[in-house]
Amino acid sequence: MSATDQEIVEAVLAGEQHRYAELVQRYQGKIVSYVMRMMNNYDDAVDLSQEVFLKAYTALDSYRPQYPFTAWLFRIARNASIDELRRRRLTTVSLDAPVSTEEGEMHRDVESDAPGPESTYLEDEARSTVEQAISELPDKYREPLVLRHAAEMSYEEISEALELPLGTVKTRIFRAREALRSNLERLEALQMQAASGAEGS
Amino acid sequence: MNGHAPNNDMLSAYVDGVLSPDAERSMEQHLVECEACAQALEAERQFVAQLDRLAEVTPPDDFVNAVMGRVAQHPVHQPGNAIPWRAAMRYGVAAAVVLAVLLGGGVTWVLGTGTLQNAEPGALVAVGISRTVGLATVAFTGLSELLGNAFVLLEQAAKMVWQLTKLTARSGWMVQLTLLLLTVSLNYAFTRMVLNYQRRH
Repeated sequence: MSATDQEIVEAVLAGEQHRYAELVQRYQGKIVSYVMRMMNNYDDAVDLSQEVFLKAYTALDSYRPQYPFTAWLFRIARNASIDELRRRRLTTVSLDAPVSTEEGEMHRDVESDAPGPESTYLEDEARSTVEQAISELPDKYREPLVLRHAAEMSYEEISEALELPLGTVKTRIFRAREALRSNLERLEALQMQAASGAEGS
Repeated sequence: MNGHAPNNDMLSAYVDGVLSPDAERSMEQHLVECEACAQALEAERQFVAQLDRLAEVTPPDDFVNAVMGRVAQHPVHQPGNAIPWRAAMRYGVAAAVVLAVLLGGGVTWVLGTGTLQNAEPGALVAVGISRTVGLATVAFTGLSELLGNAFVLLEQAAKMVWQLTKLTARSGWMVQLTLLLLTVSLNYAFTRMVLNYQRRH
């Protein structure tokens, strides 16, 4: 039987630094998947995940063994992702912030640098439509959804990690799936259009 | 779905196994009767399975080594720092409980011997020692005959005491307080019992 998370933490805190590798091995997939869905870039996700494990190591003595280790680790991953995204947003203008005009506040209309859905599909067919649809979800829906599916956490663990009541977590995951379904339908319709357009030209 | 229950939220919850037992039962009954909902459930299952494939982001092969390389640059956690002060307090209280049991037992023994003998301190100690040795011998012989090896038993007992201390240390302060009170009152009751017995004889 392999050691529990708590037993490994105890050993690491008692001076067996090398045993931390067992925890990294155990959770690397989940953490990288989670951060990847938050950051939308593989290389950034790998770098940030390393930071997460490093932070968890230095803060290990503040971990309370009566709580699940995953929830604690994901809270660190979540804070690191949010900090990083915030840091990046600070250097640019927020696209979500409304613009004040004479006619009142309105949405900022910005042309995206990223390739549009049509060209994305044509340039890189392997790119998953689902991933794109998820990246378009609002944070409050994307986070629990990603924890559920990319990090394979239980509802209880998500509730611990996000410090939200269990009922709220359930509602958000179900709403997220609804929103995702409609995002997907829209994206697939666009892809169909692009495909028929490409055939026609 | 033609507007009747169950809705998408309930199907989602059913697939994730987070419906209440009652709701789950009525859902299962309904699914037997309603072909449309059975199909909707199948669609939901496939959708959730598609989302579960999000977990398939694989970290690079050298991820664990990269993290451990950076961890190695940080100081090793020292056993002294391993237990934060709250835990240290818990272990302190747990140790106090163990001490209370041992000292309480000793006091009971000496008190009992004192009233019985009402003699010189030297004689008191001699009687105390002879009683302890006698009792220990009887216990040792009996138990070693029972288990074949008294040392194995002692080792097991020591392990059990340590596990109990750890358990006590991890439990809440209410449990610890109860244990302390229980120990004190048991010792008190036992002392009274011994004194009464010796007064009568």
